[in-house]
Amino acid sequence: MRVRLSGRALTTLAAVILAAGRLSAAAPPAAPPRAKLPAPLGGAPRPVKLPTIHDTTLANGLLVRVVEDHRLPLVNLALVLPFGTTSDPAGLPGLCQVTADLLEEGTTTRTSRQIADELASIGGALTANADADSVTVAGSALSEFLPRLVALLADEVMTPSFPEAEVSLRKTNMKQELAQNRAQPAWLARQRFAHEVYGPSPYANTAPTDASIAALGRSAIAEFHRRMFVPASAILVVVGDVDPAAAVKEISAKLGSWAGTPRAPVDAPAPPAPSRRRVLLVDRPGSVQSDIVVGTLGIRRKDPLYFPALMLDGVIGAGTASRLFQVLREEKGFTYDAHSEFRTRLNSGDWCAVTEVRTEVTKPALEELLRQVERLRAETVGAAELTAAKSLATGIFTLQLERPAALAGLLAEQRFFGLPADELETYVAKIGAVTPEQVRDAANGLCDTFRSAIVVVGDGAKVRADLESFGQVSVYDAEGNPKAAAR
Amino acid sequence: MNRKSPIAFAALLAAAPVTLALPAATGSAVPSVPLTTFTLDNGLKVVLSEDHAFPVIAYSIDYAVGSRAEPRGRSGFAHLFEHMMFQGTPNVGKGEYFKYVESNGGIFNGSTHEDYTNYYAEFPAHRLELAIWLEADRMRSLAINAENLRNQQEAVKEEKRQFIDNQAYADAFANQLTDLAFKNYANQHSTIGSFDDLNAASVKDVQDFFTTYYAPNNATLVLVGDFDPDEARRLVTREFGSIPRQPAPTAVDSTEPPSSGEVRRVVRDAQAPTPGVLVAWRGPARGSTDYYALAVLEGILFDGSSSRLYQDLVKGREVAVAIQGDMGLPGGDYVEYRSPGLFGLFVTYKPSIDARGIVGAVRSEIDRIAKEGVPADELARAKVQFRSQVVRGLASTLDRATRLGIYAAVDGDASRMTADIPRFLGVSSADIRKAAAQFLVESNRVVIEVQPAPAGGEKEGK
Repeated sequence: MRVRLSGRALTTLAAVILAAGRLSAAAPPAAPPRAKLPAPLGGAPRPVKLPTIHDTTLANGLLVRVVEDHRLPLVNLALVLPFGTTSDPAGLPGLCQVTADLLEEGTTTRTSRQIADELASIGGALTANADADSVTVAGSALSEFLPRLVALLADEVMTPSFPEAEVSLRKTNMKQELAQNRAQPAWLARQRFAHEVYGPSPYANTAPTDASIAALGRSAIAEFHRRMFVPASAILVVVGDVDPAAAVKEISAKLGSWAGTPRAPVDAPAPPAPSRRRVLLVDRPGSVQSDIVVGTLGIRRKDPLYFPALMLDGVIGAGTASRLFQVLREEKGFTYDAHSEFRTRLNSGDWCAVTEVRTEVTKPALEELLRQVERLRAETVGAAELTAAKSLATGIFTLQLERPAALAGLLAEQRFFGLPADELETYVAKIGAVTPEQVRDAANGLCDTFRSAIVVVGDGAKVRADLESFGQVSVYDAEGNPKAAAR
Repeated sequence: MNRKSPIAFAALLAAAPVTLALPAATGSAVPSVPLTTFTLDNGLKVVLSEDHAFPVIAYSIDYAVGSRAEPRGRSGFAHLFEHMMFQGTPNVGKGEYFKYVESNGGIFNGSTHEDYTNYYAEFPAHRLELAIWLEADRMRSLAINAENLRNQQEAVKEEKRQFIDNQAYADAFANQLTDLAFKNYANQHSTIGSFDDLNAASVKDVQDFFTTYYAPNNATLVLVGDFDPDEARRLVTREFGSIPRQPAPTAVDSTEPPSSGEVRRVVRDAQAPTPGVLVAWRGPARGSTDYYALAVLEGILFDGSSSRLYQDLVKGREVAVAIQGDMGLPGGDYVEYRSPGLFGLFVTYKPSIDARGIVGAVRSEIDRIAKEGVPADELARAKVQFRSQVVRGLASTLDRATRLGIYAAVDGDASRMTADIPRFLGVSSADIRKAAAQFLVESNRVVIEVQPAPAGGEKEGK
């Protein structure tokens, strides 16, 4: 496991987050044009060829989707299983993730070490990760080694052995990783936000606790695997330098014998809509910045307002021309980065505006951020600004099609969320059809800051009084426990 | 992989396309990247790489200047300047650069390194002309004013707060490591700089830096993707051709006096939840046999769950939480590594061991390699991993543009990106043994212990 520390190259923007389908920053206030040369904007877009998808469903219910991409001698795989951390039993958050983590730590035919060495010898990588609604086992290898990569995938998913010693080591390291996460203000902010927005819903379950890590044991993990890791409704996407028929043959040979009783779909009910604003301070003594997250319960992926909400997100916080980036950074100099985040799940979702500012400007930065969010409800978005957001979203979609791992994600999502078969073909047109009025409809649900959660991770001694002006402040420590009101 | 067609970059004024041919599918296949190179009269080097698989274009323009060019009192300036490049020109108003790129479906960024600074973007293919126009426009002239400078000084200071001052272990990585490892200020100071130095930057500094370093003869433009090469050449020549050449900037003196032995430091870090230790060695010259050997050894020692130190410390003895190693610390990798540079690793560890124990374990693993070399199967595996990582690093059009740009900036030859691959794949056990014995020794080593400070305590060791 590698931790990326911040000795990285310095950049002008926070990040180019293409995998997540977005940049980090949005539309400036109309600058008065000077006498300048016009930018060359002639020419027509060239048609983007959508990939040909070869779909096969095996007898055990596993859907295999293959796309050929012969530009590089590489193959990408993504196996998406239709359950996630919302399946964790009450009181045992972390069960789904630890089960996924342990797939690579030993099977009935290979030790952890043998799996690691085998992967290395095919130039491969294979990692399992649990999200709220799904577990994804994804990886890649040099395409000449596809059969060996598939064999490893099958071994990990079908016959993991969860050796006692590996379970014990993973538990110890999970505790350490939890401590590392709690040292990160951005992590603390997302955790508090999820707990607040999703409340009693299993969608609030985002990380293990010290108590749940202690309670996790081999038998619960093995039982969870037996019950949940079944082929029915699972999706395996293959993108790369492969022959589709040969790939399907290989997959049938290795994964065709995968069996298991199909389960009823996980029912993660949507949490109740919020009725009031909440101000939550996670006290991080000595913090030199305040990490601010403001947002609310959003929509599920299949919601008819999905594309309008995506454009709302684009106007305010996707990309450097977005309002948050332009105002909070380029105008005010409060921050390095300001953006918004739009997450859609099977049965729910959330939306939030995010920035990190020096402690002294916490109050004016939060006021400005709230003003920008509320503006989306108060004013209809202008045509030019909406067109710009559509262009960025369309552009990013095109760039995702070019990136094998991102394309694999799109192909899995289309089936996972039960989207129309022509979703990729109609995606750009759906973006194009969004009207300013629809964006405002979406804003009425997402941008009511009087029903938002306002989360600030910062130095409580310095920012608490400032936060009182936004509402009654609830204070938490890094472990997520409420702190006494007096300090 | 054709092993004998390196394109001598500067020598080709009007080269025909040279393709690094892909052999028949064998275990040694590495990607083919066709390159055409030429140089404009004003000295701008241009690399074109056609690829019609997808209707997109990507470019990287790399200027041969980075943080090593900063004099005392101006640490962080090259990066601050990079931010200024996005602040507009007489033709592109403040905020309009962002809008031009994104409202045309593009993405972009820039990054500052020790020896080069790059600006890159990817667009739908029909926006080629816009991309070239935007990039040439800001090389020709910038709208430099006090207001924009003040604003970006604040943005950069927030960047430092967010990614260094407010993060566990980051002080040791970003500030302490090079300070301790080197003696020449050019190599010692951090790329992010200090608040005092950032605050001291003036509009005149920005103007002078722009004139000196952001000249066509100090840059390489790499363009990759779905374009017609004749049209691309015509557009590049039209937009960049009339930007005047400037006197060549004075070369940065980055020579290091000989190492005077091991150096150690203990840093207190109030944000670190567990202790950690950074171990680094001053590395060999780029392009030397030792460089290739250590780049391969890096994978064997640190990279991934089959690596030796992961298997020893995280798995076998269960004393470490995580290991991260690279050739090109802090933050870089072998692609941009250049001497004076650092090879090393960072380990976070558990209460069952101390820093001395970790450093001892690292040392004994390296001593074993220096004595015995690497078994043939392990070396073969490391090379497959290496080849696979190279391929993965070229997955998108933008990946290829930025990586070619780094080779152009660091080696002065973009074709080294693929021409170098056989050098890595040809590394022998004896090469690794020799490089480890010569470079990865105690007298050439830097060790920084990061100890969690008591809650609420101040950082020390600045």
